[in-house]
Amino acid sequence: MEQLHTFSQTLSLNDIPALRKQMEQAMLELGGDPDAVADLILAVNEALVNSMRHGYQDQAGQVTMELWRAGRSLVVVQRDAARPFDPTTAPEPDTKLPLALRPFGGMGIHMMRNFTDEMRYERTKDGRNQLTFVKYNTFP
Amino acid sequence: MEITTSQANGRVPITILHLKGDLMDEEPLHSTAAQAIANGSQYILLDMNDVPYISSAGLRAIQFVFQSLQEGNHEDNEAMKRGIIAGSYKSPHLKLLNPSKNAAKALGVAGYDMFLEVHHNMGTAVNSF
Repeated sequence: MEQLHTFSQTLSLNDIPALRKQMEQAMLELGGDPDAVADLILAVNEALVNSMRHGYQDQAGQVTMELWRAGRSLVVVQRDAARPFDPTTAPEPDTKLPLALRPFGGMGIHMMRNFTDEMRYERTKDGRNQLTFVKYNTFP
Repeated sequence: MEITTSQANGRVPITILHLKGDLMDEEPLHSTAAQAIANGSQYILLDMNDVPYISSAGLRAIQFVFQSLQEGNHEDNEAMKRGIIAGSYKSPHLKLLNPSKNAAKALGVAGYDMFLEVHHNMGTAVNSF
């Protein structure tokens, strides 16, 4: 794998739009397919919000985002030092349930799963959450 | 996200909320729609022509508008139940205009497009209410 870009900062919820735009611009400048990049950005946005809301509980916290190229795939690795949270174990929402009867919430992780081709979680040896997204066919 | 409000008259009075920017938070759509409903709006068209992205929080805001309009129109509940059973129910009170490709993807992944009419022309959208 070839590392393309790293973003590392102390992040708060209010900083997410700016980081999201920086990442989107970087992915496009690296030659990523616009549709694939848009999908990844939607997934990453949800992951960042989860990290801030549930991991850091609305407080600012350190987040690192790495962009990697693996063949034609774009890989995004997100790390934070928040409390452990594995989104891959979350249950799937029932998206066929009528809107009038649905509980609120549960769509963020669903979007993360559906807008990427792979989503993996691990707790690193130094005690951080590491979430990896892979989007196939992002590069020509 | 910026929201401006306008009114249109088709067969019924319609409140049009023109959204501009990414729909990444529940606010300000939640409070703007709540205010419109409190002021008597029963039919809302969300103009999404300038909404590049929708997040899960944005989806929650749309669901809030959907459910708020539904709760205020109990006479529709029987029709809604019949439509849900038939798999053909779409809200007569909340409709969408011109969602972008990415916004449409989010609506589709969440299954919202099964319950919300999507229009691509303002006149057609207004006349559909």
